[in-house]
Amino acid sequence: MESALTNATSQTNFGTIDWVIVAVYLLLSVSIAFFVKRYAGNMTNFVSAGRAVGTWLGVATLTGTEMGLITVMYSAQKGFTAGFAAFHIGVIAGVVALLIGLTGFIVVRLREHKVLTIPEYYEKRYGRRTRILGGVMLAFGGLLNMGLFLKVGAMFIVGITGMDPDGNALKVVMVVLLALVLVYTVIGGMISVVITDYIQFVILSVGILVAGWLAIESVGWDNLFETVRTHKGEAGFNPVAAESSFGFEYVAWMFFLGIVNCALWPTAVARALAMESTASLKRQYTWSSISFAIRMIIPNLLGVCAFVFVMTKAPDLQQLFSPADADVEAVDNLYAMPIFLGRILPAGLIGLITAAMIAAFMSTHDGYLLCWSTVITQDIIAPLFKERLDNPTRIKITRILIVLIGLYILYWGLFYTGEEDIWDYMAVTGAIYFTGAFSLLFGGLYWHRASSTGAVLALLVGVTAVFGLGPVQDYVHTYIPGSIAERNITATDDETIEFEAFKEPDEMEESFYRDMVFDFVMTPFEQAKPWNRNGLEGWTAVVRGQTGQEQKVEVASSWAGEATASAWPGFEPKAGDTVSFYKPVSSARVGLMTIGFTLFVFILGSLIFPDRKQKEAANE
Amino acid sequence: MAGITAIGVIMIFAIMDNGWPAVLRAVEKDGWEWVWKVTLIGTCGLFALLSVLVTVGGAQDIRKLFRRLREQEASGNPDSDA
Repeated sequence: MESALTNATSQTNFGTIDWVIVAVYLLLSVSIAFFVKRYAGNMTNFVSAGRAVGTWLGVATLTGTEMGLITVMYSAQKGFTAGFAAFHIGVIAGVVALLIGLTGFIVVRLREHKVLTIPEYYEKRYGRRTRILGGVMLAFGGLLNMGLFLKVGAMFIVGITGMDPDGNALKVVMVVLLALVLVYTVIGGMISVVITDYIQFVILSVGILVAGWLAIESVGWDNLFETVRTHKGEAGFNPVAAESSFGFEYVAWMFFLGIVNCALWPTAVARALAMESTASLKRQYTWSSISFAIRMIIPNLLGVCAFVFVMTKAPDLQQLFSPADADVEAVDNLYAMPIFLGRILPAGLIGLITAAMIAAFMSTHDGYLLCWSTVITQDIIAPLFKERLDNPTRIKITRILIVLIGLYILYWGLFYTGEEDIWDYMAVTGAIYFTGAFSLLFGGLYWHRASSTGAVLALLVGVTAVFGLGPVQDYVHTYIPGSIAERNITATDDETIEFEAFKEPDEMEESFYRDMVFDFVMTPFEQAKPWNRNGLEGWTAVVRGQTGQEQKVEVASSWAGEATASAWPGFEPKAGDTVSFYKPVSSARVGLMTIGFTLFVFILGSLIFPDRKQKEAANE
Repeated sequence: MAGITAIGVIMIFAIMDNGWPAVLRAVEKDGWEWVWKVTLIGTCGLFALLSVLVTVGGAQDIRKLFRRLREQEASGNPDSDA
């Protein structure tokens, strides 16, 4: 299968002229950092470009940061797997950005406080300990969130240029891309970031529109919709259809993520805080609402086109991404869009598109590296030194941190083994920070009774969002309500394991406790009826061997005393091994539960433990 | 605001061209498919317009930014926000 992937990527149209275009672009980006270096001498200039960014440049830099290659890749993946129904994510993001632009919700009040970072506001409103804890949570969630950026970006470059994905190409590309971003971020700070974001916006906007046009042309407008209708049915268009992988819960989660992306996510807020006035800021968000929508919609479209191309025009790719044989493992569908572009775009243009995507990659990385390093410097290290650090020392620490964070994302990209869609991974890791941040910012800016104790509790509770990650759920699956404890395997037959049969329990008597407590608490968690035929279908079986090795697999069918998988990924189970079952909780559900829980704790904590000296909600 | 306006304009043209009953029939027949087609065309058109505005306006903003930074540098304005 790996050689088939190598064969698939090698059929690209990427040639010498394309390498030249990419090289020229990269040289231009790095040289800008050296050109603006002399202005990056103080912390306000280094972090906020002197708070002198105009509306149009603000739109460019906000778009440049938020429309990264990672965005293009995960959105294309969503389009590939869910069809046009994935468009709802971009539409919601655009509508929410527009509402924030019109109302100035959170961002305008933050800008009025003239802070450099969100935790700096925490200190003004809640005190120093909240700032430090908020900085730690922000850095923890943010760094986890950024962990896969480098790898996914490198997968695009490898896929579109035709390098060998089975060799060391992925690692080499990761190192080279990282080195380039580090150079111009470390040297130029926010000023070079803003200027390169502008150039990247220009290249990216042309590139992505042209790519979208050519993608549609390659598969045909009518065929595009027809194929999705044939293969995905109603679920390919309707995000709340019964058989859709989204549903109302997911749509609600996307609405909240829309608010997060605009008003809570530090990289976007950093752009807001760099604006010359609050009027410019509102204009920036109003216009950027188009970018917030398009940054998802066109990549979704590329993913849908890649799906149609694979299903109707490239039988070799169909074998790779959707193999007919259940025993054959499908290739990571993140490769689908770059391989598709590599085949349909002509030489020359493919170089321009690749430069545009590298532009997207770099503009996101520079913004994120600068943001997280600044948070650690300004909000964790500096308060610990009781603000005794001078400006040159702070800039030096920030630069060292940028390099360290770069090394971390290289490490994480190589070793993380989660299998969830990238978008869902990012939403969950981000939630570690933003569920708490939403309570603190919304409460702090609009509710005068918000207290520092409520704030600290909310920040701590936000960490529970980490349970939305697949590997974490695997680790704690026995504690998930509704999971089925380990039982011994008594016999095996090919893909079927047998164990002591489940028996239907006696009906529980109606009671106040059952109605008001048990049922309420268990509502978000699915309860299996394993004594029924296929009562465990879609659940995850965790098989533990007698020597301690472990594997997990989705149950294809089941009955009271047996469960069948389509294939065992690790080892053949034997009598004497054990099996337990659990139903993974969706990231959207975990996210929504965390938001509710965090807000509840924040309000309760603020009411029970009010601050001795209350501060004004808006203008302290 | 701009996005809603553009989608509204497209819908008005569609209604003028085909008549209101024809548009209703299209929504009824294709449902979500029709919604996504309009969304795709509308947002791409708007983004093309935005790209032109940002390219021109952004270049002017960069000139202003450098002018301001040069003035700061010349006046030796100390950093007060650390």
